Amino acid sequence: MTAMTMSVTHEKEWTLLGSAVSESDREDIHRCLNGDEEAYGRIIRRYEPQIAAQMWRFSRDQLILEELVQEVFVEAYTSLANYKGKAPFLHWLRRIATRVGYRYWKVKGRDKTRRDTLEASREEWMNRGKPESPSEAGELVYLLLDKLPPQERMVLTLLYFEQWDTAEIAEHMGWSRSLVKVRAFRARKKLKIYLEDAGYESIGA
Amino acid sequence: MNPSERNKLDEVERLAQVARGDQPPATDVSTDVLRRIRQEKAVINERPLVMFAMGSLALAVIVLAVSAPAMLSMLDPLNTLFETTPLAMM
Repeated sequence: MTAMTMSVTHEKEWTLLGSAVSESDREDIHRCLNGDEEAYGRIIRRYEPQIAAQMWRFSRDQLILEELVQEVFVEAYTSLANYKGKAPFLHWLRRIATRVGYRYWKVKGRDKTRRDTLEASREEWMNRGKPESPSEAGELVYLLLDKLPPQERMVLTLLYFEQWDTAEIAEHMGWSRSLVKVRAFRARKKLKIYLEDAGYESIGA
Repeated sequence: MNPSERNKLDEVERLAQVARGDQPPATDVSTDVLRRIRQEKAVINERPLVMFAMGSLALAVIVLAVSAPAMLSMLDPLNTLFETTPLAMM
């Protein structure tokens, strides 16, 4: 069932939301389930910066970033009735964001023109000075991880940026824990080979 | 893994740690999200009508398939007498 088809019959369900939900979220989710769009607007404005920061790891293009953030909030709206409040609302949103980003990587990985452009940027970045700012470091890590297939890239992104452990990644991605470990191992190995091939001594040194 | 290999990966992890402070460009998607939600709601509201139309179409095709041979035999009742006999019947 989607939020769009919901009615006051959800009155009972929303009161069962777990204690992990903040009072403002609880109120807005309740209003939203009863068709108040402005309440959802408030939820979006509350969490947009965090979700945008997360989606920035999936694309460094502002237009695509906006599309991805939109997609996350649209998907969250259509699944709102399934949110049980066992974890804070932001955690739930982040999981949807991870799914949306992963889907995007799987689709855009087939775009050869884009891959060639990134390869050129990657080489340029590898020869630049040592990244000083978080933005430069973010760009370089993005380009390095882009060498990997989506599954392996996802594992390292979740490990490095979201700081999830292998059990959390396994649970969220629907993979076994050993598969997550294998993918992390393979990803690191590929990254090492790439850095060697690129003549790496110390990035940008 | 030797120390040099380890250092390469540590460097990537160190970069990732610095990159955690990376801020994305400002976005404002609330208007667009709410517009998309309204559009999807409209599609959902039309869904029963579309399902009904598709059901009617399917039913019409079945009726046509059943009634076409009957219609043909009514137009030309002797036609069935002159139909070629299948080889298997000979």
